[in-house]
Amino acid sequence: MKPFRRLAAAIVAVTVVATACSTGSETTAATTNKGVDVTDWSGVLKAAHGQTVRWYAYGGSDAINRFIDETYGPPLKAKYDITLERVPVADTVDAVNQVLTEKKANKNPGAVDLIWINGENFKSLKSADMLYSGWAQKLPNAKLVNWDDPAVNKDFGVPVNGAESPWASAQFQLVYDTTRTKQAELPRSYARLKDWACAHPGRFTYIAPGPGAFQGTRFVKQALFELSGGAKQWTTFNQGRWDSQQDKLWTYFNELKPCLWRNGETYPKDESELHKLFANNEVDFTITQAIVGPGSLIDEGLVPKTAKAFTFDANSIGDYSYVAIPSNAPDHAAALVLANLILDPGRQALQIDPAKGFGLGYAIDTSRVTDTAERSALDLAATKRGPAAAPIDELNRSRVPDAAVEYQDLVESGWRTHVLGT
Amino acid sequence: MTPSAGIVGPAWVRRVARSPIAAVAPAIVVVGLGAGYALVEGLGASFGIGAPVAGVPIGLDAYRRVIASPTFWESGLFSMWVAVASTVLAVAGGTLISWWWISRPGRIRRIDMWLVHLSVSIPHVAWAVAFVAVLSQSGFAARVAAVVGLIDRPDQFPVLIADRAGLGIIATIATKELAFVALVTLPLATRRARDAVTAAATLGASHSQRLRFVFIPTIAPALLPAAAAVFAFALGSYEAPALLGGQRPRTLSIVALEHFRASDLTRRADAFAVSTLIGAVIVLMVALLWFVGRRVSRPTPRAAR
Amino acid sequence: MRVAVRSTLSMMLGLAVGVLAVAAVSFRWVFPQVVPDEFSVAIAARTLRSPATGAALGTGIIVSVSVTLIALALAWPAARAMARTSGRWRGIVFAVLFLPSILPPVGLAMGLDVALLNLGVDGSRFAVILAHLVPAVPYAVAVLTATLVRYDDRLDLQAATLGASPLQVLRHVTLPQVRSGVVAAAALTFVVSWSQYLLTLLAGSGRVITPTVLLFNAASGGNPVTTATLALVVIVPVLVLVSVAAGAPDQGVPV
Repeated sequence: MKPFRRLAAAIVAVTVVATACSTGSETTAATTNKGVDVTDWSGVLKAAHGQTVRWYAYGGSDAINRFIDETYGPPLKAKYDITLERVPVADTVDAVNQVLTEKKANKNPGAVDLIWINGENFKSLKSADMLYSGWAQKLPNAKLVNWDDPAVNKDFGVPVNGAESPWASAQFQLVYDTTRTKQAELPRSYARLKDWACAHPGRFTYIAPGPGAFQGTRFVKQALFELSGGAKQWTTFNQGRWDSQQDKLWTYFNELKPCLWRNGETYPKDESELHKLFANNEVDFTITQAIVGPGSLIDEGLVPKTAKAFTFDANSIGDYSYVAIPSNAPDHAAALVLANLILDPGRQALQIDPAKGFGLGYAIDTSRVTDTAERSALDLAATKRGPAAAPIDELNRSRVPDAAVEYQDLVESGWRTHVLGT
Repeated sequence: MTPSAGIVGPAWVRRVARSPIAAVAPAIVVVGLGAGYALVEGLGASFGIGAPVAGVPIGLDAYRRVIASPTFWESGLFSMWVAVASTVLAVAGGTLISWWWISRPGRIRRIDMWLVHLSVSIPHVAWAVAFVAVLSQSGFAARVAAVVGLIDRPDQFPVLIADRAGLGIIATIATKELAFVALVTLPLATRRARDAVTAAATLGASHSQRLRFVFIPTIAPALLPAAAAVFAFALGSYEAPALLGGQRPRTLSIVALEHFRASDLTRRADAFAVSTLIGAVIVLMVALLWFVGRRVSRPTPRAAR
Repeated sequence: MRVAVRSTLSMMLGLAVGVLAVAAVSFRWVFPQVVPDEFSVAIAARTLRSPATGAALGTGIIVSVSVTLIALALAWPAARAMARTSGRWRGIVFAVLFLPSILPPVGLAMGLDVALLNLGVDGSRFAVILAHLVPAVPYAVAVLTATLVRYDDRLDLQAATLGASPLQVLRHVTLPQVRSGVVAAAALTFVVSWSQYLLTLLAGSGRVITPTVLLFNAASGGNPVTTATLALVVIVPVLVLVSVAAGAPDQGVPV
């Protein structure tokens, strides 16, 4: 097998090279920077000079794509002579696979410098030992992050260990249309939601849980929290607890199913499909993770002007997303500079501003920002969330941490078997 | 004056270089080795050979796993249905286009060629995007239906996207592939079938007799390989099912790619096991078509030969 | 009947392209508006001006032009030989060339990805070009053969007898006679490469982003106006090339 494969490979290579002459083969002539020491920041900056940072990020949101290109690209170039190359992926798992495949092929330097990541994807790269660790808390701007907060130093229950640095925070919310549903009639719990859905058959649906659709998985996990009497118990993994509670969960979703859009036969695959159903008046609710609510969705024409966010009274999952550096990153130093720039109070203030940002919340703890001008810019941005946003006290009151990462697969495969498959 | 005419060297080198074998070799080698290498890698991987991670045993484990999956048969039957329905529609539609083209004298109009070429050439991804925009329950067709008063709400419009019967996937594949079938059968239709059909007409054969007993057997040598290619494409393609399919049932191609892209690299073997099974079904179908082809094209003498 | 085919096809294509074109300049175009209430070119303009779209167009053109040139170079000698050989040989060669097209596309893409990874070139434009050659070369051979079958190569012989070099013969005698066929072959080869999504995604490790890849990503999770705009970015070059190719007579695939 092996010799044949090598022979075949050689023949293909020779033939093609011979017949193809030269074709614009993309060279990845990046230097490896194994010697970079995070604590020597001026050394990092020097090493990063002239490098390219290839940032693999979920590319499905125009707002996020634009924000990355416009907010980080120009200062990286001007201040540090670093070129930002944003690589959009349909699903973060594609970036993870890229790194894992490179590990298999012993490819060093690889292709990826930075990944926007959290949860399961973080866990699989970390357990494959393919992430640089111990750097995130040593970035100059790491002092602005509340690393003592378990929501920051644990990612889906997995200790971060300085292997990723936070970018933004998010919280699960529902979105309704004020012209269709009265505020007083909004369902504020899963129990009430089922009543509402069955009183309005076909007018509610949720995103199918599964790889690449964490919002759907989150929606189901929140139901688990409510049905089992609280979110706290789920932050550590306990198979016995899952076994004893999961039936309740599937019973709930199977009772909900006949009341759903298209009788729960099929579900939207992603947020944008759910927005479309909501905008076309096929269903009455969509969702958002943005702290600013549906403001940017309204500006993009994705949902009606009269859309507004709200949360349930409890069990609304809030969390952080991060950036991580693969251990075979070609331009390691440039990735560190970008990870630090992301925490810069000025950029953080931009990302929450509905006019410029993508609506996710701060990664930094604003109380740690000592510069008064920066501090007031952050506070001002927070007030600009606009009328479509959910009230901040509603968000704070209902926020709970996500469940331990081990539950992710159990929820997704369980939903497939017990809800979709019946 | 072959391109290799200027070659120097020993006599046998010159002879080989001038032979048609040397002329076709580069094309054959690139295509054959490319596909062959992919095939060998894929087959090997499905048996656990050359796995990307340690601890994958060599054997039929991956096949056992994918067949034991609770949704395997559902996905298999769904894929078969989508492929067979798309192929039947594409072959029927393509044959009819070809038939209509030659059933009148005169050259084929340039606009007709242009339309058929365009249908073949529009990328599947773009075609699928357009189909969603037109056929979804709140899409363009539904809006027209609402304006003329056929429906009031989107949920009254028939479900054509992400439906259990895969109608959206079938429509997308069939509409593009029927143009492919028309193009593939065109040379035989114009060069051989037209004269044969005209001859049959003068002998008093009816319209349907001419189509059934003269036209189809004459174009069969092109029609059957085209059918095989459409079937293979429909059974193993990813784009249309990914953009127009629902969560259940899913085609085997979606299942294969999900295994392939999973971060658990042991599932690579499962991905190739699924695609090998798809390949096996295609081989069976090709054999069946070949068998049918021998029976269809034999009894009718090729009039125009 | 021909008119029926013509109008059905035109209606289908016109509806598809028309709806996408309107969607690209619409704003909040929702049920039951047949014609959008609001129009805006802001999102389409943003999509077209975005560096990502520009980069994808550049990559797509480099990849597909390279594939076209290589495929034509490989296909030309094959097609000349095939045009001269008898039906049986031709059948065998075409059978070999078109064998990959009865492999399941998803299996071919995954297998090629692993193969390219073993060659150590996976994730580059070069890898994508190699992968695209597998489906592209057979079409180039088929279309060129269909053209060259009708070419009378006694002209070449005459020119050679008069002292023309093989290159001169090719440039001044052969090519001018079969130009429309070569243009058609080039156009269709380009389109085959331009359309590939899965092969590009896997062989390019998600890093080689062509407009078709960008479109697929937008279609799975992006703004519908952006998606419609990108669909047009993908379709328009195809429309132009097909119009060029359709000028050539009879480029059916001679199986």
